[in-house]
Amino acid sequence: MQQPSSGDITQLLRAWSSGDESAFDQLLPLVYQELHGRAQRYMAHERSGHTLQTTALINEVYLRLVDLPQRNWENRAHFLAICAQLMRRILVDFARSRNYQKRGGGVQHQPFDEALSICSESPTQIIAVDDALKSLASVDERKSRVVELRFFGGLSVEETAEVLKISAETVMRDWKMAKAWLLKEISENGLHGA
Amino acid sequence: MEPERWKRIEEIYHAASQLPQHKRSSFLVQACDGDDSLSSEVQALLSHDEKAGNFIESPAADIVARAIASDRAKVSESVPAGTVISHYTIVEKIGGGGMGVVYKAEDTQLHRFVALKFLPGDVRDPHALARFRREAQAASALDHPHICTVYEIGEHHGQPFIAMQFLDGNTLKHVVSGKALALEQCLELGIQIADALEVAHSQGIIHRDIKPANIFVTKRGQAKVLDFGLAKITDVQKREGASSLATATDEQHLTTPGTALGTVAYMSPEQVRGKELDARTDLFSFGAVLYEMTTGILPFRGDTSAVVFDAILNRAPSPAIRLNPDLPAEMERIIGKALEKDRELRYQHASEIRADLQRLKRESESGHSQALLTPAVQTKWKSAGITALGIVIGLAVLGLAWYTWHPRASAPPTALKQRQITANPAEDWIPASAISPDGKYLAYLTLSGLLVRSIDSGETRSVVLPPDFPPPQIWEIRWFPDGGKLLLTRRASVSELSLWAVGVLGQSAPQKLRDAAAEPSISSDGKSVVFLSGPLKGPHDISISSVAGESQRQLAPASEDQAFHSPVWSPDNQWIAYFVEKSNGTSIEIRSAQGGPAKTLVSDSVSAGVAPDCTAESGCICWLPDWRLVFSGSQKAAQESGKNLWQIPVAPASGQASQQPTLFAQLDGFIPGSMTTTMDGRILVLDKLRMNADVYIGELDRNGAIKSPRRLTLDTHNSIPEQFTPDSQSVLFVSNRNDKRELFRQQISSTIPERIVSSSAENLAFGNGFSPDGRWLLYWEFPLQAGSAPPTGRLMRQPIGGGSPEKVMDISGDADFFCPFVAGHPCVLGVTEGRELVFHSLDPLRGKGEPLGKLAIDAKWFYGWAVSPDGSQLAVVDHGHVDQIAVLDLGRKTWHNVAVEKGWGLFQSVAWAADGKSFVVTNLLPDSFNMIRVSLSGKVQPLLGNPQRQWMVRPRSSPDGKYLAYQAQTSDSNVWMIEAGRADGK
Repeated sequence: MQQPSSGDITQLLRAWSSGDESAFDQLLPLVYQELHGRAQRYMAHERSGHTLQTTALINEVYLRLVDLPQRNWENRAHFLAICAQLMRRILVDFARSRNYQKRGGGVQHQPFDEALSICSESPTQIIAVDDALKSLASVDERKSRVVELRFFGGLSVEETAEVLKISAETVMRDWKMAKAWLLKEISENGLHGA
Repeated sequence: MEPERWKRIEEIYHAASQLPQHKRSSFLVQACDGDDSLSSEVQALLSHDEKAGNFIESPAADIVARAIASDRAKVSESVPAGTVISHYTIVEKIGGGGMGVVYKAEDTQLHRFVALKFLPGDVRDPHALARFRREAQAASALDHPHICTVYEIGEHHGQPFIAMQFLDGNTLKHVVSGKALALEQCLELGIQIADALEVAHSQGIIHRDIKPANIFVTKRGQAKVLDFGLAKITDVQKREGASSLATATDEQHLTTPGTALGTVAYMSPEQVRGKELDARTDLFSFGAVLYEMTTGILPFRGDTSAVVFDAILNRAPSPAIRLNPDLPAEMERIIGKALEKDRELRYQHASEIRADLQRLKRESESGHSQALLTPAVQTKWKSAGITALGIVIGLAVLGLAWYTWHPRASAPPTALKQRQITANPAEDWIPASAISPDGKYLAYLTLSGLLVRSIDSGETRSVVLPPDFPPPQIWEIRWFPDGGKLLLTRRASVSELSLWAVGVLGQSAPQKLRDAAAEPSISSDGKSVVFLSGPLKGPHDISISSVAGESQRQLAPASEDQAFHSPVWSPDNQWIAYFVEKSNGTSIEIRSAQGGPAKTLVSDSVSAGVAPDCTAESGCICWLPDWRLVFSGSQKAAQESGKNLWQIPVAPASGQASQQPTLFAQLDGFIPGSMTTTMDGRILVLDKLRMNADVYIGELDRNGAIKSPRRLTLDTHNSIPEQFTPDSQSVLFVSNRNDKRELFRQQISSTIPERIVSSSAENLAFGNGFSPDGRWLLYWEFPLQAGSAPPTGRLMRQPIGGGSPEKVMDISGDADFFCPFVAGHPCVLGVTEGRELVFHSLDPLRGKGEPLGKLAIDAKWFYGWAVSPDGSQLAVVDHGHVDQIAVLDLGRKTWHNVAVEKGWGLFQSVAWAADGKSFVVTNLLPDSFNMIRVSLSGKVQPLLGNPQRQWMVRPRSSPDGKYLAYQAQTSDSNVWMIEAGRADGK
């Protein structure tokens, strides 16, 4: 496969972040390749019994695709933020496309106990979090970004703090409350919608 | 929502969540000042906070990647029998894991069995597939008896596969598995492999990945080299990004612990350096394989690839001859020349090393008169017509070889999750270890004594113990919280365990803290110790005392119907958790350290099918400072049995578990023991143990002593000796090498066993043999899924002359039978009924006959019995009868005891010498397992003793009196470190 050069990727990301949808289509295979690589490693690990350390996929993309020594992307924080958005879009699309939703209407209509099982990791959980995150953004934009960067971007607390220019402690507090809020939102929607 | 109100919710929420549960509601009333909706809003967040658990703690990308992985696994692992792929019909899956699957299949055109190996990943790029075909076909052109023939390269729904020769046997990796092979076998296999390399190299094909997992040893002892040329193809694929999957980068290689090492350990220096390769790279790797075959150990070892690479590039391996003193100096020279780092100094051609090996073989044969295995010897048994028994076509579990075929590309880039920190061979296994509270030192026990190793520098020193405190008597090790002293459990005699304190620097004499105590755990404040108390055989209670041994009080009373293990303190020293085994199941209970009733924390009924399992080792529970309780357990519903480590968070206030156990770490078939953690709880250290029973055989000299016993069965599964064949030339044994118990026989001069009884639905029990008249083979069949209840099975008879097996009788309970060597005397059936061992005569046609006698035994422990060769008497030993052998006269039906010289410990199994004039008894002394000969008057002649805690049982005499076979259990145990992570997953 012909891979775009690191310079191209920078351009593509810029283009996408300023609304060019065609750039997304070109970025998608790159991220997919990484996802499949990771899946492959999970398969290898399942047998050997090791669990994979959750290194941020974004960091892998970053290391592999961006010309690291020259660092021609002027702002790493900016890059990470855009990557997290890109990842969110791709991962949610993925989860939806694979018919992981249990019923036609999606997660909103799950009964309460099923909504609780949202705690167990599954692509369904990703869709539910994405939906609830939109509501959270309208109440508290920063908390929704913390979740976007950490959950979808896979960033560490420190990296999240760097991107949002807040303290690591604040990230932790936001993260804690956002988790409780999202879980509540998902369970309540389940109750009301059922 | 208004920003002010949201801000208010946030403030109150964070303040409340800092408070303990019981103070929250009053705080909310006060803080919300009558605003009920505000209060309930915060309350709702708080309650979801508790439920959050691992919610969104794994990045979404990982969740998706795992979903992809599980989809793929389903696709590649769900080809059902009968599926037609090209002109192959799938018969069954015979191996594979995440990295490619192998099926046995039938070629419907040529009507032969083939092995179909599916390669991992999709090949969507047609160019890549074409190139793959070209390369693999060049390799498949190799036609050689010691190269596995490739028939065809194909593709099925985008997944490439290779159809190749179907082989019956095991990989060399399986065959070696940590143990040196006999020189004859090393030479035989080595010559064959060198021959295969010579032919391939002459056609310009380099293997590039010679290693034991890529060498197959068939049941006939023939080496077959697998996957010629594939390593190159995968390299090409990797470079060109056609398979962008699993591109392990160099950095990953350098930090990858554990599993990846198998794939780098055989690389040549030029391969490590990434240079252009020629045929000589294979000769280096072959040298590494020879080294491992002759010593059981890898020449270049290390915890990470970086260390292994450094060893390959810069370090000379320890001389093979030092690890295996029986090795001829010439073998050492050959291995050394193959392992030359400079390829100009190495063997230049495979033919040179083959010639050297052949010369050595000829010399060693003329030196030894002992016959090597030859096909003629192997087939003798077949011509005797006995293979007509109900035999299923032999199909070995191909196992590990298959999923490691794609070695470097698949190197798993694990994080430092589990790391092996000792690399002791089975001969020097580690029975106990403990990490110091500061995490800087590991205390562990080896043959060389009690050692303390610096985790950082690797520097190791011994703890000096006085001569009357031999290290093999140590059973358990704990650190005192101050890090200056060790707490040891000592077994000073066969029936006593006691607790001792000893300075790490050996600065003062060991101090005895308490008698009749074991499995201690010291509170983190260093003030109290909790331990099992009572006689060695139990029952034990759980008691607490000061570390000095004072003010003992009982926490949980002893009782006959339950056994306790591994009591541990909670991080705040307010609770004690411990393992309980009862007849109806296992559990982990918790009690307040002050006393009070027990509560169940984990059991398979309350914990989603996860049953704690501590029966084999002490130290199987560990309480981390963040309140996660880590324990050894198995999941009942899981297809794969075997223990893993599980974790469950415990609420400090209530002592209750707030959620179901989750997996902490997988153990891959190892048994965990000696779990300890550091004060900060960042790492958990444990011993990972594997046990392996094998049949050993030794020649007896005129004085009845055993001459150089050797291991007869050479695989990694368990083999349990049953009986010699009437001609004294073969041993019958039961083995689970094919994942269920089957009966095999093996010539004493051979390395290759032959399966003689198997069946699809039944599991063989131990205790099988020939009838005295030589007409029948008698064996036990039990249902495969026998539960913990006394199994119900049946005794079968199989006519030696051919014919189908028939049932002799049904049996329930623990039963065994023995047949004398001479015709005219009946076999004897022994069945445990409660605490009695009851004997009846047994006839192959009529089944159970007249009662012969019974004896009260200690059935909870070990016992053994045997009928004398002439069928006139029977001998019984058990742990309940110290220093004596009970003998039953089968004619008069009367018992008498042979009083044995005192001081030989507990007896666990017995055999009669072939002349009926002595017994061979295996016994247990405080620090070793032994085998002794006991005369009919009770005089003892030691036969074998080993300080390595190698368990010996089931001695069997050959009818001609020349050999003795027995079962020896070898253990392989090393210390591992697991990064504990954090309860909140960060």
